[in-house]
Amino acid sequence: MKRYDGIVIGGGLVGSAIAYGLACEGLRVALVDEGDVAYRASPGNFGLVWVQSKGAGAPHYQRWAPRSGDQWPALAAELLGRPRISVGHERPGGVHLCLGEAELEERQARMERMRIQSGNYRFDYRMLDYRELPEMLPGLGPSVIGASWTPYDGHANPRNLLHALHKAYVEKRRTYIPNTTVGDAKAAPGDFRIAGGEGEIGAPKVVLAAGLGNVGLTPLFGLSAPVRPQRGQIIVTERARHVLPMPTTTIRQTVEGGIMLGDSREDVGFDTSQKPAVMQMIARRAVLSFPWLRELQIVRAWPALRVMPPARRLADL
Amino acid sequence: MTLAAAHANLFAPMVAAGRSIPGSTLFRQSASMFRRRPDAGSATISVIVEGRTILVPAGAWAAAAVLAAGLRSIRETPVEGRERAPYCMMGICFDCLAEIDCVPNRRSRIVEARRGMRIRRQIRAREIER
Repeated sequence: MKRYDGIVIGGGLVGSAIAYGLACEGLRVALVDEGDVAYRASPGNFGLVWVQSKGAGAPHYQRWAPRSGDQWPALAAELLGRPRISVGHERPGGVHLCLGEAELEERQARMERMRIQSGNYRFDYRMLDYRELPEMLPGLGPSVIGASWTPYDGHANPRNLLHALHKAYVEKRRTYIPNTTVGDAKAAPGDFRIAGGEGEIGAPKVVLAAGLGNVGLTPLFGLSAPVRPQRGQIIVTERARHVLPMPTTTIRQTVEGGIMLGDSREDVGFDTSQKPAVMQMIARRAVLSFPWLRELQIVRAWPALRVMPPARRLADL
Repeated sequence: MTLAAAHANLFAPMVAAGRSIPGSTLFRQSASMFRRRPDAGSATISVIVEGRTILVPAGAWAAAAVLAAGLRSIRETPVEGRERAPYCMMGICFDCLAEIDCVPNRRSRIVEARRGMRIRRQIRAREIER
């Protein structure tokens, strides 16, 4: 049996980031990846490195999000150096657009709650109205009557990030075990054994980063993580010259020029089918936000499942 | 059907080794490396590819006209400005993007050639008016 300092189960964005981080600390790591048969959340990631709305009702989470945002430029630079992959990270700040009075009032109240909750930690936000907004984001539609803005928000290319993390990890000469579903495990103090793939592997520590796979995985270790799937659908337009100076919660322009539209939420279990009605809702809202989007062709659309906590808490909204 | 024949869409590959003609950068050869398939119908229509009149069989894709024109490329990629020409001939690789009748970013492989159609190079990403 091969032994490691740590085993990471799950090769998506979270698992590969943890495995790469541990490898950078000099640890001998094994990364076990189920592969593309898994319910990967990573391909459905919208690409926001978002801070402004994270952690309402959960102060620890609210402090965590900007720290992550602060560390992004260094990570992007590191991955550009080696393995020479651009993850397309930018941090120009971001806005949440409000269509109508009700949305604006709700957003304003939420941002103010966030500011109060942040206590002595800084949380600089501004509500922008129809006078300031067009200067910041030309081409807004008349339905947009206001927005919340913070300087902390940014975006990146999640697929390039996944590729870069995998490559960076493998270049550290650490063990990558692909196409392997962990079927059985034994847990003793400081001695975890994982069955799967070519045989048993062992380590004093194990990280469960299998997303929705954690539901079945955690009981093997005497734990419980009844996370649930939430379907999101994404639409991408043809590539256009740079027109969006910053991302919004639901619309962003990639470095390559395509404009991504998203942020649907459906509780439909493990159903990964696409629904025209939801895509229509996404497109309609996008065109209300920026009427010029109407001119662009849609080139791709796809669904994916988010990994959500079992109960809906304020922090998840 | 060979891949090259599939590429030509009603055109068949012509043995053209060693026939490249120096001088033109846009038009690599004076003639296309593709020629008409023997089983193509006799009806032809004319389209305009980068200012040149090109005859293609009725029912051909605009991408076939691009290939028949012997262009070295029909688009430049948005980020790096690399030249690309129709490749997969299935409408999925997006390397056949062209400006067709003033509409940018159209996949010429999924647009049927029409009489008088104007096909122009797609240079990098399209513009969009805000």
